Amino acid sequence: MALLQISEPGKSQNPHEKKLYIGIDLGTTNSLVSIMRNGSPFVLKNNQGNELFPSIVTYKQDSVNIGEPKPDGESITFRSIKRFIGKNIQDLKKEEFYSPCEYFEKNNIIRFKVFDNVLSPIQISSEILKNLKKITEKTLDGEISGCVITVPAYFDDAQRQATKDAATLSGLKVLRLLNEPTAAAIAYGLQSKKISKIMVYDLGGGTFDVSILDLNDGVYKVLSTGGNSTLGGDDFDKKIARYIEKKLNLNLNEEKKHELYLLAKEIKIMLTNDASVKVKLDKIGIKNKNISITQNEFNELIKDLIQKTLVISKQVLNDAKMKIDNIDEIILVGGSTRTPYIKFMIESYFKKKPLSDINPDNVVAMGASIQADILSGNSTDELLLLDVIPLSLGIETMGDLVEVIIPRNSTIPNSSSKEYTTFKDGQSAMSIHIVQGERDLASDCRSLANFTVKDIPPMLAGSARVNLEFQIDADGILNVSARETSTNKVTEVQVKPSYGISDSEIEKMLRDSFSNAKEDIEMRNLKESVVEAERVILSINSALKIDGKDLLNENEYNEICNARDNLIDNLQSNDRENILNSVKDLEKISETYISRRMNSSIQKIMKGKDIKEYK
Amino acid sequence: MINFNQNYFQLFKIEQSVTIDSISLEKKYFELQKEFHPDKYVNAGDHEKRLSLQITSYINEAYETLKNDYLKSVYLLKVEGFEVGDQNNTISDPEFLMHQMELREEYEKITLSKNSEELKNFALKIERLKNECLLSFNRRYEKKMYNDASIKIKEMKFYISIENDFKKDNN
Repeated sequence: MALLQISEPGKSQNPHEKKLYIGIDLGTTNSLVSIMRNGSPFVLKNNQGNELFPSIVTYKQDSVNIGEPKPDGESITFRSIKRFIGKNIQDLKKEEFYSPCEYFEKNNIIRFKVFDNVLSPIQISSEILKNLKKITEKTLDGEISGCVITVPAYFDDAQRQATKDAATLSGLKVLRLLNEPTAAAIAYGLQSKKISKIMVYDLGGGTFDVSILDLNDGVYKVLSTGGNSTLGGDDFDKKIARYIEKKLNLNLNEEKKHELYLLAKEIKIMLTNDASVKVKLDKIGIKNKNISITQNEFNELIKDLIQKTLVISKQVLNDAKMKIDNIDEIILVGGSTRTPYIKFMIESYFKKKPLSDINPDNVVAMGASIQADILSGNSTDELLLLDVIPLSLGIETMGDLVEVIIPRNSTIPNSSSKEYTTFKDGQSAMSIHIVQGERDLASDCRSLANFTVKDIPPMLAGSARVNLEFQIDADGILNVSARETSTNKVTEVQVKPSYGISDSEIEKMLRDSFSNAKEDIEMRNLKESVVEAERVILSINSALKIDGKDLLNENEYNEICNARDNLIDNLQSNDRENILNSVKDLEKISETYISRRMNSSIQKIMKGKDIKEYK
Repeated sequence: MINFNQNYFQLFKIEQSVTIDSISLEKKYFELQKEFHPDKYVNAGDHEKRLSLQITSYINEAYETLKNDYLKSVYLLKVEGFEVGDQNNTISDPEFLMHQMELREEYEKITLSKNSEELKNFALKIERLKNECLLSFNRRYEKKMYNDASIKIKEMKFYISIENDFKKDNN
């Protein structure tokens, strides 16, 4: 399209200019941003030289702030919003969870009452991303063209969708969601090896995640994943805090308890390098008293937790149909893996020294930026990632049972279809419930979407045919379409699980009957053509303003204006054909003008320069 | 780009046979993935993106079918025009039915006993029976005795189901 080439004279885009692509590790406790510099990943620092950006969002009556807040009793602070993303209250009740304010559930996701607003975890997470975006763009003095965001490998469809929605809401374009363990393996550059089997052991502040990757000739494949979303280094802190509380027979109020907890964290970090530590207890209001803890004591405290992680690791290994000695490399990820006892336990259990050269806090973000670089086409690396879905997808059948449509650990993208039929004479509707999980009963699995296929032509039981197609994309996000195939009239409806930003929109989509599907597509096409037309109008207006009077005679100028006004009038017509035709007319009439503009800008650039420069 | 009507063997350019060299199959699979994976089309138009999604889904389905002995056997017959549906899955051979019941009884007994040696031996036995069944399928298939071969698929399915139950109960 000719108008696409209109650009300000002298400001033409440089095609060789590299665009800015970043990797984001959106963590439960901290988030990180990494970019590529001269072919190597580089983790961004904040003003204080810190690479970890706390994933803490604080709301006040009229402002939002990111980072550790000063307590003032008047604000609402979300400390680990990632735990809430893509979840409803029922999901959350399976774990311990803390909400800083009142909450309720709407459309299957939790909502928080934040002063006068109702906010979803998606909106709150988007504040974290917005902040990262702002800082990155300020530091690098450029606009981010796209990003890769990492998610835990076991994130289900709803959680992935919600993460992507949060990014969209913050104005970031997501090239791909990347599993955290895979990102870590990329950061270690293990693809230089021809063939290897890799275990990634990721123990963060609040989550544990283990994955088995298979690397074969530049292709990474996740063979299996598992984990526990409520197990992490914070639990170590709690153990230490409780230990001190018990040992000294303390009875602390909530505020002091929190101080003790922070003290416990300090102790844990010190015990990484020291065999024993001694700390004062002033902070929790106990004067002139010390407590000392040895590494051995600490190890005893956390032994059970580490054992738990090893059992999960073994299970994940079994899922990949592998034995301990099949593992070629073990990668440690997450700040908590700095704990010497973890390294020791892993090494003795798997009989292999784990890799821990790269800062375990940074490694995921670094891998994400390498992947972003590859996806953007900036890099020539031949790396390819093949991912799997972490949990089976199925639909509820009679008696609350689940029929698995795509089993867990299937490579994605993946599609599968199943045909269902009516079981009553004259049945005109069929209700479909899509779930995700490994349990036999649908009510025990994660409910992803509920919708009804309507307007099935009345037929004898078993004659109507409804074909359900599941399509999972490379981000692990599901799309379901239903198709009634028994008659010649074939209609289709796209259903995305109802966890998106605009719930009302999705809700409407779910409610909309079968027969509305065609209208939906037309509506979308119309909207697209309007957007396109508006863009054309905008660019012609700005061009005319700059040099319209200089490059066109009065007649030509009026002709273009008339064509433009005609298009503006037609925008209201709700007729796509009409709009598209007017766009074409405007473009045709403007052709001469556009070529004159291009010539004039070339002349402007060349003016005053030596002819030799153009040879 | 890719012809969705070709069968999985044609897609991977390998000979249609009961025996597949898994290493060269995997190599072909990776080659196709490297060409069509959505990661290669991040900056492409919507149409190309959708196509890439469909093609890689198809490649994944094909690979997972050929990699798995049971699915591959079912597919081989399908290519020859013999659909082994989920519905008509009853085994009518009285001898095999007896064999089936005996194995189930043995299984119940061993699961209750929780004797690890016996459990291990039973798992090995099922594995052996399943492999014999596969070999027998292969022979019948190669002789183009498709109807007889389809009986073996049903038997294979039984061994797989008892194997799965075993894994579930004893993990």
